[in-house]
Amino acid sequence: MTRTPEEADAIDRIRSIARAHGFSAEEVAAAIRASDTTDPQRAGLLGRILAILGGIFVFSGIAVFIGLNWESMNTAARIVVTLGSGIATFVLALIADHDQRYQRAATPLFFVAAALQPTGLIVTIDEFFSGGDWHLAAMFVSGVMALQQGLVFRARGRAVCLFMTILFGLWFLATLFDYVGIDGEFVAIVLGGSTVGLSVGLSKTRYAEVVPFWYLAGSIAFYGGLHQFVDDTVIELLFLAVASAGVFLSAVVASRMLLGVSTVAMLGYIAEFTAENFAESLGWPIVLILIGLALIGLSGLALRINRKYIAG
Amino acid sequence: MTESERSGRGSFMRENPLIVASIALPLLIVAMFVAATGIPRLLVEAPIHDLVLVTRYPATNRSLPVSIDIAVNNGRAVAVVRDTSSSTNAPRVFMYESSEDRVRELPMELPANWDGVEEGDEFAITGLSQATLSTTLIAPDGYEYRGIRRRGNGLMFELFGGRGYGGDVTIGKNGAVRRISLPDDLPYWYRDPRFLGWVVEQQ
Repeated sequence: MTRTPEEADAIDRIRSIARAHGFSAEEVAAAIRASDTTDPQRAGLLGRILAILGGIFVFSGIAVFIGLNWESMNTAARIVVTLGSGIATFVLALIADHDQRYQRAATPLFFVAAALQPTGLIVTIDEFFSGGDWHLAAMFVSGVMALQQGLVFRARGRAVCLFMTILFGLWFLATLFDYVGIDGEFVAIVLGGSTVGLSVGLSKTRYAEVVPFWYLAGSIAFYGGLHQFVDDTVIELLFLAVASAGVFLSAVVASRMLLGVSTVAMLGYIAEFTAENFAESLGWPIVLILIGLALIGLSGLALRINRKYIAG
Repeated sequence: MTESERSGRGSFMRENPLIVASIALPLLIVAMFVAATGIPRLLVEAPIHDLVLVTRYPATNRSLPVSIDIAVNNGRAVAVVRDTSSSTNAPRVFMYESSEDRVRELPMELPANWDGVEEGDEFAITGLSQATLSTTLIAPDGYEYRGIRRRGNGLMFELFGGRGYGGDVTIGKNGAVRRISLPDDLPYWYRDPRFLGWVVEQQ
């Protein structure tokens, strides 16, 4: 191996320092290896935290600046600062995604673009149109965004774009349901159930990382809608049966989110049912004891299911 | 579409039936709902009678020094002075013209000077002075006034800065439902329209 005079001089100095302090070659090598593995990580973590904080400050500052000057901006300025920034950020995200060196920056850039572009589209609609049905504006914006994110997901296979596609797709469908006149609780049941179904399907793919959030959101919407739908009807107890089925499903698909929401739904329903039907006859103290026992029993059951079928 | 793209899409659908079903189910329900509500509209005849609705308008340039109300007296729609000691926002009167399937605002013949006006005085509503109104919720043609179906703008729309006020009045008969949209310049908290009556006769 040929060395430059500077490198040879550096090696000589390391050798002389090691001899002066009685270090063996292994000790010197171990110290260099340790510094190789720890220092960049520490520096990387600190750098990332500072970069995130800096990004938040810059983004917040721009948002506040736009908010303070909004009324003095004309139409073009309003569109440029919202939609223009959104499109620019989206292009930056695509460039970062293509370049190995900046791939970590792509995800936050996709998120920022997904926040700015719909805002910009709504501002543009608001500037050029007045009156009309807001459903059409909402469906246009959510449809365009779902299509954009879906195409990027198809081309690049990024999980963040799949997450956004689901988000904007659900927004589009919820608006469409409302536009055609379907009642809110039915919308929540159908879209919540579909989201849970989609999450089960996605959990078998390499995009399982986006699934927990959609299990949470989908199951909350589904149980909320179902509760409104069956509350004070002859089929009210169906809610308990469905929540029990949800607990069973959570064990099958190994989802803590679904288990948690289904357990809370069961507990909430039992507490409500007991309070409504037995508070008068048994008295509140007894009812509270019964609710407490149900809470202890069901939470214990949920923990056992988690240990045996999900965590295990 | 190339053969490989077609086979790739087919295999995705075969391998992920749950994902495909989860996306298709909401769309199928929307299609079924549109069919279920659209078919009766084709089969049931359109409404014959015009519908008169009243709202209040909060803008200060339309406030009045007296309190007036819109009422139906012996089948005639009139603006009645209820209280001369308190001011109020001027009511607005809208007519849904069934033949045109549109909403039109009806002006009122209110005095410029309110001195000497007494409680119980009545003023005509232009466009309704010759009309006879039925105040039953079901019109003679069978269409029923079903009130307002209030809708928010949705969390996402408002989250991204969207504005707009939802809420349509609906009338229906034998499964056929028709929406009547009031002008957008009505802020939603003053928007609740009040049913005044069906125009059953126009002289």
